[in-house]
Amino acid sequence: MRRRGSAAALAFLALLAATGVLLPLAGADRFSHTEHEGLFPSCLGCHLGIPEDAEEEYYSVTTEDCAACHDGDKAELVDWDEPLRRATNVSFSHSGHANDVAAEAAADEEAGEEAGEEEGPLSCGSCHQTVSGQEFMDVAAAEPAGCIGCHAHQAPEHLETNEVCTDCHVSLSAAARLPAERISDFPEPADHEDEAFLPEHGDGLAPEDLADNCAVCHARESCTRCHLNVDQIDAASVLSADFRVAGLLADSAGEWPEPASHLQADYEFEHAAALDSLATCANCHAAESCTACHQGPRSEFLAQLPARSPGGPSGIDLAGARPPGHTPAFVTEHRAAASTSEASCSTCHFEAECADCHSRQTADIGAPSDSRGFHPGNFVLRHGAEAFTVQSTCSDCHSAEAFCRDCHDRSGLAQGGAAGAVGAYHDAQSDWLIRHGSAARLGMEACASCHQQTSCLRCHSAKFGLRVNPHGPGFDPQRVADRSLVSCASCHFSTDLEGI
Amino acid sequence: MTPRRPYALAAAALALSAATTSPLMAQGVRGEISIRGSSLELRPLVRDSLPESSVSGQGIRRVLPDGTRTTCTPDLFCQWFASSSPEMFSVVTQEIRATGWGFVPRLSTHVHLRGRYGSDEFWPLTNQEFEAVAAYVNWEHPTLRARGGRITRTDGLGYYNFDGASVLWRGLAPMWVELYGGWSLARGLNAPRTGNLLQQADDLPPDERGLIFGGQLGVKLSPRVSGTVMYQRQIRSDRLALYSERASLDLHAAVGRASLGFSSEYDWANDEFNEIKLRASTPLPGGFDVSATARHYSPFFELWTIWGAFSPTGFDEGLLSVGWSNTPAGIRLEAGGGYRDYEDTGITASGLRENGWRAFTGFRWQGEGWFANGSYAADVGFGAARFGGDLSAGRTFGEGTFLSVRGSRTQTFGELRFNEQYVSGLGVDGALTVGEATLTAGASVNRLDGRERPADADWTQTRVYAGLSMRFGTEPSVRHGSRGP
Repeated sequence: MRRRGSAAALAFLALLAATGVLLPLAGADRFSHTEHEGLFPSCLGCHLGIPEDAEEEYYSVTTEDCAACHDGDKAELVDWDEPLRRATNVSFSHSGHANDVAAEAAADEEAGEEAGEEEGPLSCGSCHQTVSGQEFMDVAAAEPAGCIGCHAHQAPEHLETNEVCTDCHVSLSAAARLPAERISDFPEPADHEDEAFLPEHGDGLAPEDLADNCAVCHARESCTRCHLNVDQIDAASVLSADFRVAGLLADSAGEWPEPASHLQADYEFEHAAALDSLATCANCHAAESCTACHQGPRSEFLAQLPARSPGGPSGIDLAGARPPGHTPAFVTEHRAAASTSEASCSTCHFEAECADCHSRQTADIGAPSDSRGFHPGNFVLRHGAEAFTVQSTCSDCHSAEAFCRDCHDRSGLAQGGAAGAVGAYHDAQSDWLIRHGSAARLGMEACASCHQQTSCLRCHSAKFGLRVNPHGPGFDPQRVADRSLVSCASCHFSTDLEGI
Repeated sequence: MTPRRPYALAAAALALSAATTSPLMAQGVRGEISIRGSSLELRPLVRDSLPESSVSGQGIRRVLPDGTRTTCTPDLFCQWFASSSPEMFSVVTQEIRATGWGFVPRLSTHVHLRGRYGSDEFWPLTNQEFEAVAAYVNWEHPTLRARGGRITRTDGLGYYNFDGASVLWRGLAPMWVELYGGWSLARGLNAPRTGNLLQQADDLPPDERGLIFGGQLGVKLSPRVSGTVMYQRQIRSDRLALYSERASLDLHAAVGRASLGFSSEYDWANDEFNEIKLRASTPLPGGFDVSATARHYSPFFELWTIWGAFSPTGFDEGLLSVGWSNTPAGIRLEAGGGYRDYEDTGITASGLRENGWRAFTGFRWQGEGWFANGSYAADVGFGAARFGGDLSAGRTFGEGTFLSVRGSRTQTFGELRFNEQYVSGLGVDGALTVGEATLTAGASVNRLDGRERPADADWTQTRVYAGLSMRFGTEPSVRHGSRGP
């Protein structure tokens, strides 16, 4: 069966060869075999080199030979020249084909079988004579039907997965004359479009598989487009670099489909368990993949992963990748994660980064949050609503007394404001003093951002003034006094504070 | 601490840092130095008035023909507030952050120093010309970590720093224990409570420095489940009273791809939970993700203030947000909303809102060299409300280099006054990164259109900023790129 398959492939190649190699692509006047019927007794008169695969003698006839008849008198002048031959990666050989057929016939004869008509020595017309042609020179490029007349083609279609490509084709490196445009037009086997093909195409791939199949269409650049560890892949060693493929892939980014293992729910937390197979990781990941999340010395792992190189594949770019839960809102919702993970944060972040938001306060005033500020641009003029709604607690980073009050004073909003502007915030509210109590309890932080404690003590001290009790229903004086009688003494006459 | 102490501390830290980073094998330093400047234009409010007799109408509250609301005193004046001429001021900040290691195995030094200069004292803290955010020595062992100096902490009680020492012991894996103590600093000021900042800002400032002591117990049951509980006490240095006594409990768990977080802060003095928050987020099929938050909030005040004695109240809140991301297309969409219920203040007939709500939506897009961000939020609550959005778009030219324009318009309402106004802004921002250096710059023009204010008043203000930062040094085994925009 194997031999029959090869024979079928050869026949198919013959067809391609006839249409590809011998078919002139360009030239002035074309030679018509049928119009010259009867003038030439043998094909070899003009195609002397074909039986020997002597390419330079494929057209052994010359323009001068034509002029022997086409001299302008006996026949009209012609402008004929040897046609250009089309480059190909088909591995058909006239002599090889003839030898194979002859050998097969000899073997059959030796086995006592009669050679069938179709298995006898082949003439040129066996493949090139047209199906309807009755005359000797009624020939054309070989047709598939002519090949299949002898060869039962085993592959249901070209590019069949189980076929061996090199039965009919040579590798790219051997097809040196094939232009890049033709390579880019190579048809893609159907299985290459399968989603599973990319992640699994290397499974069990032996160097000989690569040489027999992949090498027909691919060069080393096909691997290095994605694989950072191509030097460590044994199979890839059979592919050689090819400038045509390099040019075709120059602007083609690598593809790194996410393996099924990476989609498991706990992969981010458990991937350390896979570190014994770092060689597999290196198919897609550079050392930079690790350092995108893990900062610090982990050289024993990093050394096993290739580093990115200029012009080389980037591998999976994990820069900016976030662990589960690190949604954009995490920037203001990270407290629980940060305070419970003594070590986890530091794998990605420097502690000093916390100060970028928590302790900056004056840098880049007016800059938007994506320019290394925390608040959005324009925040100074519209922060009032956010301060009241406490989406983030101002006092986590700002001192109400030394930060907020200072500015509110100078801008004329607060009681201690600039000349001519005193307490502009509560303007046009003549009854504010009467109804401020509820607002004060609800927004005490806002009060403290403008008012001095002494402002309240004018009325709420137990020592003087109106002596209005400010304590709410749930206030436990003893509980506070146990911790700070000094606080109590702000409003109340103190007892002996010594010795507490 | 006297004003000279930070200088001495910084000098000592720098000297130590320099000593540990002399060019010997396996030594190194990594850090960033930056200088940033901002120039702002603000328009302070000024009182304006007319004789009461010249303002038509009756009563205390009257409206001028241009819509300006006034407060009138019979037989005297009707007054209101208008914008004055713009005041332009500038703030320049210099920072250096550095980590050095290698002189002694496992020993490293960390410094974060800041110098600040303001053209005047309009912008807060510009009279604090130098501050040490952090300056400490770190000794790291697999089971023990010790730190000494000005230490920054990020824990269940937030981000703060103090002068002292901390010891973290990991010998009880999966648990760890940390104890710390020293001189406390006023939060957000990088200075003692008795420093000049609070002394100048408050009529009743603290009169004693504070001592801080705390302990934290943490457990990491698995890479996916961890928690901490901590207790902290801040005491007057004369030990007459506490400045605060607080505790926190935080839990974090990852269930599949879902993330659960619980955090709480408790104020022992007022028997009040300042924060209880439960948050869950999870990705969903199709690029969606959802997060839900339940939160209780009540403000915390240190015991050197009288604010806590006024029984401040907080609110309970629920938030839900849904996001959708298409990573290949570089698109992120978000939308969500929440409801807030304010606690009863015990004062009837206040006329204030008893609940609030918020809704928001936004998008981010990052394409081939282009990006755009937009958001809109409505936030209605006690005290104030806002409705508005931001839009920005730009082009990137490699990592850390971009040019963008932005615009915003927000309508704000002040329930406790400063009335209704529209805040509009247009700006341009850019950054240029070359190697480890990044230059940022931008400018914007902002405009206020306020109702009930004089119509002819000009509230236009400008902002300009520029900064240059440069990273230096390398990690012992890793060199990573900028995480800039």
